[in-house]
Amino acid sequence: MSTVYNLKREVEKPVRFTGGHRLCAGCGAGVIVAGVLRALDQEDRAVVVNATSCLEVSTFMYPYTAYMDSYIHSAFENSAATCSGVEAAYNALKRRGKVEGTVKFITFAGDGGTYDIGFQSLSGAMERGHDMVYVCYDNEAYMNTGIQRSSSTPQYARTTTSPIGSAGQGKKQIKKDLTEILVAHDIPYAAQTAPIGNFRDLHTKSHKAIYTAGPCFLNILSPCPRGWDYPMAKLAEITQLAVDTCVWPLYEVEEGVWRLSYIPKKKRPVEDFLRPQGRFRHMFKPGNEWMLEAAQAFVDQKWERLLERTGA
Amino acid sequence: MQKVIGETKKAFLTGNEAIAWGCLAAEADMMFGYPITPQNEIMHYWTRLAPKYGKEFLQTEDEISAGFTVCGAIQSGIKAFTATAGPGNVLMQEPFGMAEGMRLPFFAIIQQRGGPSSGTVIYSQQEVSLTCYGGNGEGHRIVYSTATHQELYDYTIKGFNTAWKYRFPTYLLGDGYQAKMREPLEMYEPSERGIDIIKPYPLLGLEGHIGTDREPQHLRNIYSMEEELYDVVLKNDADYNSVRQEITEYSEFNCENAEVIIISHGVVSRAAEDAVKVLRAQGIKAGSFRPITLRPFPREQLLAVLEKSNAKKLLITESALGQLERIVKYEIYGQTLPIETLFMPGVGIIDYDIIQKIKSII
Repeated sequence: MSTVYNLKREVEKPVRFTGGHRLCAGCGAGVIVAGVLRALDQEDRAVVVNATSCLEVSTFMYPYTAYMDSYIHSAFENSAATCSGVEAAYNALKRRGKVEGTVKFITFAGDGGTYDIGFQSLSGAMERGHDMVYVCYDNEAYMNTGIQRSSSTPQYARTTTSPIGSAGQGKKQIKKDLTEILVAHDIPYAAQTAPIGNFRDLHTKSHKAIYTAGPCFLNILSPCPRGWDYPMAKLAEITQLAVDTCVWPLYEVEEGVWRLSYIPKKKRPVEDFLRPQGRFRHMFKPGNEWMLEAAQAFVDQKWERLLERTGA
Repeated sequence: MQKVIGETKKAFLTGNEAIAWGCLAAEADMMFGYPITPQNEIMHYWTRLAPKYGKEFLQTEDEISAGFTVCGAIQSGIKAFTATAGPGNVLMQEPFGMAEGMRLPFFAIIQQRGGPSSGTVIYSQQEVSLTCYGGNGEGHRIVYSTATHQELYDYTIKGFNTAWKYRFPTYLLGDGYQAKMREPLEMYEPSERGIDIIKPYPLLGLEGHIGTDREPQHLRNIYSMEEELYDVVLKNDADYNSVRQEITEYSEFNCENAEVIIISHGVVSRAAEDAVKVLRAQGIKAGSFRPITLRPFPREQLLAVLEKSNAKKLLITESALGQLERIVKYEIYGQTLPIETLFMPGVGIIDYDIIQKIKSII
């Protein structure tokens, strides 16, 4: 990798994730996958493993594929296990001199397939130490099956299984902090990123994750116009707001060392992130000010803790 | 008890919606669920409807947990249920097995999708073997295969009662077509039709002190000795067989004097009955037999129907590659009628398909 990141040069490389896939306009997932795979060195091959997800049904509508690399769809709960198996086989074949060149192993799964049903499989793969990257594109609900809540859905967000009504005002529980759980696995590299600006953060972390030996984890915020209910053209704006409000801080933990990747010049109020999204609309109704306050307090507390950990 | 339906009314609903209403009418307390197509809308409707009637919903992190939360809630005396499909049905076999082992009144709705594995999210009848005999046990389960939206409503209500009365895991086996399509049906208060809803009762944490006031409750799914397990399995089997006849349901259509009898279940039986009408109009003596309970299977009833007909051939048709056929062949062992088959795994079957097949075999 060249020392200086240059978006223009990066996008001029041959694509490994092509256009023409069927993800929604304004979806973060396509931008993320393109960004991660762009971080592969051109001469290296990759095996892409994909859990059941929007990404899977939209980018691999058989016989069409958006991937220039080998692609395996596993079921829902098992993408990390499938990837582990492929990586283990690669090592065995390599030992016998039956494969040449470098092959990288990259798993993509949504938050449902990662935070919830795929968690056991992910934890196992990380603990066993496979040389792979697990990428969670976190759109904070089960979008593929009709926008049901997941353990990644933020508190108060409206989903089809945490609706707004007399019995509830969106999801009751707070969002699970999966990145920290992965950090607790003491893996060589874990990071949180998002497709913002010129994608430098996404690119740098992806490259680091792919080329750090051992199990690595990337948690990437992936806005969803259908589930989050924002206008399709606002993808970049919404992503930036998540970062500037510190709802989704960008940081990395390398060999146990925490490092903050981005400190907003001015930390914006959480309201700025919530307001453009239909899933939080009820929080702005008169009488619901307490929800906004609670959301702000939650973000502040997490941000303070992160500042402490990173020594920023 | 708060009336859910009130006056009997006509409705035009998707199957998933009809089931959600049926669960309310059956006085279910709580749904535990996990997203999977094509059953999602049962959860969606339930989460919207349930709070109005003081009911609860909890989404878990996968189907294994959805199933076991139901097991836990049922033991606590809550009328709980879940719904799933395809790979979710596979994952739920462990909790289903525990319910079978512990004789828990577990009621689940299965909306079949194509398989194996992720298959399709659309439709199939490929979860027959899994639902009837899945798990590492003997298939002491009760499986209703519905054909209409009216039946989705009726058998949801009945399914809860069956589970709580006989204490065998009970399933409503629908499919993606029934789940997603709209059809008219009549919704009613069970009491209006003389149906008594069985109240749930706690299985654990009962009143009184063990040893002095009452015997302990033994709900077990593990045994130390081979012989212990052997006795329990045989007792469960004896219990199952003793109630088989009262649980078993079937329907027949134009089987008297029929020369060819079509055996099918679920939505395919509607195509079979339509085919019979067309064939009869063309002078071909066809009839249709439909097991409503796939487990226990209406063995004696089918044998009686064959006896009274002039059947020279059977046609077994299903949206699977012989899952119903294996059951039928086992159940009517000894019959010498030639059996023809029309299998369309994971694909819908219409009257035309059956008519063409019948014409090619007579």
